[in-house]
Amino acid sequence: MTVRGKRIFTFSIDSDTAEEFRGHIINKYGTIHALSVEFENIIRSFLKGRKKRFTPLAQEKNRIWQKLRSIVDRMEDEGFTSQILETDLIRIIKEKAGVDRRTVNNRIALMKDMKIITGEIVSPSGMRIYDLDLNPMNMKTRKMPEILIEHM
Amino acid sequence: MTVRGKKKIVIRMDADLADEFRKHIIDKYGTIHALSVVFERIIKEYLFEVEHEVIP
Repeated sequence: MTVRGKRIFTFSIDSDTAEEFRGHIINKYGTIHALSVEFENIIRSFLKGRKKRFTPLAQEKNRIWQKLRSIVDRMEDEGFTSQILETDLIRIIKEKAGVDRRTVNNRIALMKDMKIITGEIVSPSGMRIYDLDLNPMNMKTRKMPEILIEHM
Repeated sequence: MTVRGKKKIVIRMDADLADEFRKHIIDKYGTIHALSVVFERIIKEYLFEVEHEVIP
């Protein structure tokens, strides 16, 4: 689906570069109001000509993201929505990801840290029910704590 | 005189393009926090190209 509308980007750059860029826009278009248009053009050409090279940390993060994504996708396939029992979550991670109990615990901790698990209710018998955020777009923006990467 | 410090720039971009660019940064660096650095590099490269453009 095509996402419509405009998004606002705010970023900081060196004053020198900003001044030079501003001068360039005014020279080229006669007004600074063409700033966003020129930016769009630049970013379009950049994305067209980009080279897909990833830093080692990004590669590692992507690998873990992919694993977690596949688990969450499978959960959605099995009909889970926003809530899941702890036993079900452990079973899914164990079965689908083929990992041992210790790794399961690390992944649950990681899911909590990344706020894929957004809430937790503990029943009187000690059973937990997790609230899950299954929206992959939300997951992508979350920062991965590096210490947890070592434990994955 | 060299102007020092940082300047904040606000731009509006098509949502599709913005999402693609955002995804590119997260895929490449693992975080969105590299946004300004990438923007700065792109602008610098662009200005360098403009400055050294050969006019036929």
